[in-house]
Amino acid sequence: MQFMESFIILYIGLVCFLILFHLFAGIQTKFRSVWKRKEKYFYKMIVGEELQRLNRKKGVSTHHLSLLKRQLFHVNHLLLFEDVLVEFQKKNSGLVASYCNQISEIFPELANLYREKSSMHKAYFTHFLSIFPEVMQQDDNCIEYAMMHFVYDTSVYCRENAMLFFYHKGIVSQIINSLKKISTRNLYYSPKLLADDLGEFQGDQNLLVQSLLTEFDSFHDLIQLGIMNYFRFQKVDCIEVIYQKFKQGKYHKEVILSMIRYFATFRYKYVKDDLLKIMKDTDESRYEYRLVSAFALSRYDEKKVRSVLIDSLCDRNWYVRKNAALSLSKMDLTQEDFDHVKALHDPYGQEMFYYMWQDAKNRKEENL
Amino acid sequence: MIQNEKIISIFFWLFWGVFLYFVVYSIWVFCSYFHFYFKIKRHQKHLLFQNRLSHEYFVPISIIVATYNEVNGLVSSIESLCHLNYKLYEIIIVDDGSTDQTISKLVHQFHLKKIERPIRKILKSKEVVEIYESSSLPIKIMLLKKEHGGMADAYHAGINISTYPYVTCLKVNQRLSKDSLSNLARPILENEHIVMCSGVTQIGYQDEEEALYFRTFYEWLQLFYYERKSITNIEQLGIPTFHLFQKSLVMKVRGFDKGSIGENFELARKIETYMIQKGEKIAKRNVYDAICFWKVPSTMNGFIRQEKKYRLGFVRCFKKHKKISNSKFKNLVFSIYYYLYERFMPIFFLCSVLIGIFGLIYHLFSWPIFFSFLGSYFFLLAVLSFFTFLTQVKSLGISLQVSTLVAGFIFCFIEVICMPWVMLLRFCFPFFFHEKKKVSSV
Repeated sequence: MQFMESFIILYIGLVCFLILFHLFAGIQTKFRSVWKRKEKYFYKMIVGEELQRLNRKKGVSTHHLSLLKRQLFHVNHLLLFEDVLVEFQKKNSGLVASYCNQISEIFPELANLYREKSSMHKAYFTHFLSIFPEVMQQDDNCIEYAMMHFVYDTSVYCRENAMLFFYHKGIVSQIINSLKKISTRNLYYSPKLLADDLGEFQGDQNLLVQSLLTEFDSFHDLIQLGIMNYFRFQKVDCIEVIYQKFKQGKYHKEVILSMIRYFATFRYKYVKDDLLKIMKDTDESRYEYRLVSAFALSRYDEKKVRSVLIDSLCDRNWYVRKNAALSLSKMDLTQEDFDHVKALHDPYGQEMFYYMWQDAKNRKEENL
Repeated sequence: MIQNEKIISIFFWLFWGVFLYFVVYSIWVFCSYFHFYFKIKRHQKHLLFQNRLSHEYFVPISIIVATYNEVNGLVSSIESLCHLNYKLYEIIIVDDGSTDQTISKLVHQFHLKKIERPIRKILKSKEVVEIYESSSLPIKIMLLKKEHGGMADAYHAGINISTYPYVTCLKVNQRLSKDSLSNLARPILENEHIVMCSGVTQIGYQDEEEALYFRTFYEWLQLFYYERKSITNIEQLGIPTFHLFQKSLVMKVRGFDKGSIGENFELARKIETYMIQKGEKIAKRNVYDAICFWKVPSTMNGFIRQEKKYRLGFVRCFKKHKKISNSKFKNLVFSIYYYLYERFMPIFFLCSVLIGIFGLIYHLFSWPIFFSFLGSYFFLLAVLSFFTFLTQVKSLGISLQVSTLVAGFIFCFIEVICMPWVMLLRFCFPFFFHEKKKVSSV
């Protein structure tokens, strides 16, 4: 019974502990929110004053810079600073951009300090830089030195935000170097993210494309895939170079498939024969090449191509038949083609063809 | 007064056994609460410091909704799915041979047109009789009418016709919050190995805020599920769950098991077992802010029927898929939890009731201490349940009135006292919950 008594005391003690714990947590939260309100007001005042100085064509005061250098080292202050800047940005984005230019001298040092912090805080710092890239106005080497550490971080958010900073800043050399280093260190960078992020690039697009193509072989498979998807989604015309790379045949399967999908974006006379050759490959393990080639051949509305596609309606693979039917539905079919379809011995292939053709016809009529 | 020493010693052995069980369980729940609390705090910090991918497009998703004679709630359910904050998804409604006006109502409401589309039948399902598709809506909606075959069968038909590489299977009484899909899909871009993500299921009412208020007895059950889930990282047991699966993996494991009740947790467990057998690391993510609201049945019969289905489903699932990870430690933890609570809790509770009565009648122990112990034990569990709920509410940024908090605490206390009796009833009346050979549909 004494044992039970001690457990009664223990349970009551645990209940008291829980209540006190939550009370303490609640009080801490309350204090924090009061502190946040006060500090945000403070930042609004000081940033507002500096913006007014900028309006009067005066620079940012040195006192303000030293204050920011001291305070922004703490991530909670940086959070509030971002909130305040975002509010001012809504009213006058040009003025805020010029303010960011003026305070840029403190950020390389801040970047050095944030390097030593946890991944979570580093990711936030890079997030801030990606939203306000004007705060890093130094020469490229200085920026590279400051930012590379964030690119290599294990946190995917930190890496993504650092890369976004480069895309928004429009520095091609930094992007290429970062992608190379990511490849060397085998860090994960989702091809989908890369393709979409490259679309946010703000600098010289032609230079970016040229650099990506020149350094293509130095990137790992996922990055190559992301770059190919970027070319495809943004309709970047570099088909000759891509075709040369395709002919080399030394890339990962997904990269080659992405190249074939790219061929559906632009027509190129030499591609057609390669795609037709793939369509005639009966190796079952390479069905993915056939199904993507069937999709890409929609660009080549010729008798020979239509004939191969119609024959592909009898392919063993369902997806090859589907893509062949889809491509045929986009072409101008002749009576000969319809007769060819009727003569097929595969009712499933015929069914697929008629479904796609009818669907395309209905969509055309609805659009009209 | 009992003279027989043997009976007394057996009694005290049983007594200490039961006492030890309750002590271990209370420690378990206490630890699991703090595990859950710090997990939520870490998640909130991640959100505060923008440690998440902000992206317009994640991955394309097919939402499959199975229905059987549920036309009343179906239209509003589909309409709510059409307004999610997500760019690329499709909705596939599978009518599992309804005999009411499901098809005509949906066709009329969403301007669907009948099409003759070939389907690739990878997963076994009954014959699809008709297919309808929308052409005018921003979100593609497809409606399949098929022969009656059960919920799992209906999901198979939906997965066969789906276009996108990720699928989620919902019921008519489930609603997603606007950001559920984007929150659920986000982890897939963060880690190439993640093959499934699970969200959080909550009781749903008219609107999302009302869902978090204590209103029914059934609401409290979820609190225990959160506690148990947090330390073992296992699924929300015995209630509908919300998952996002990689379609190719679903195809590899051949979808739901034959005779299953078509619940997401069953498929999740099957995929985990498959990956364990392959020696691959199970990469899945639990997403706390991907919320699926689930409307409980409004009648007692409906509630009992549903509860029976989920309990059977869970027990069957556990029997078939005992391992939850490649880690022996995690499997051990899960097995301990399962046998300690899910299977043998009613036995221990029954023993404790009998021991208590026996001991009090024959004055074998002091009844004030005995009842004080029980009181403090239940009070601790009620406080833990209450704080679990409070932590979850705060994490979603919702503030409750004092009266709701007080009512909530009272409900928690009643729950911890009544829940063991409910489980005892389940255990004592097996004919009510016996396994049926034929699987019922929705």
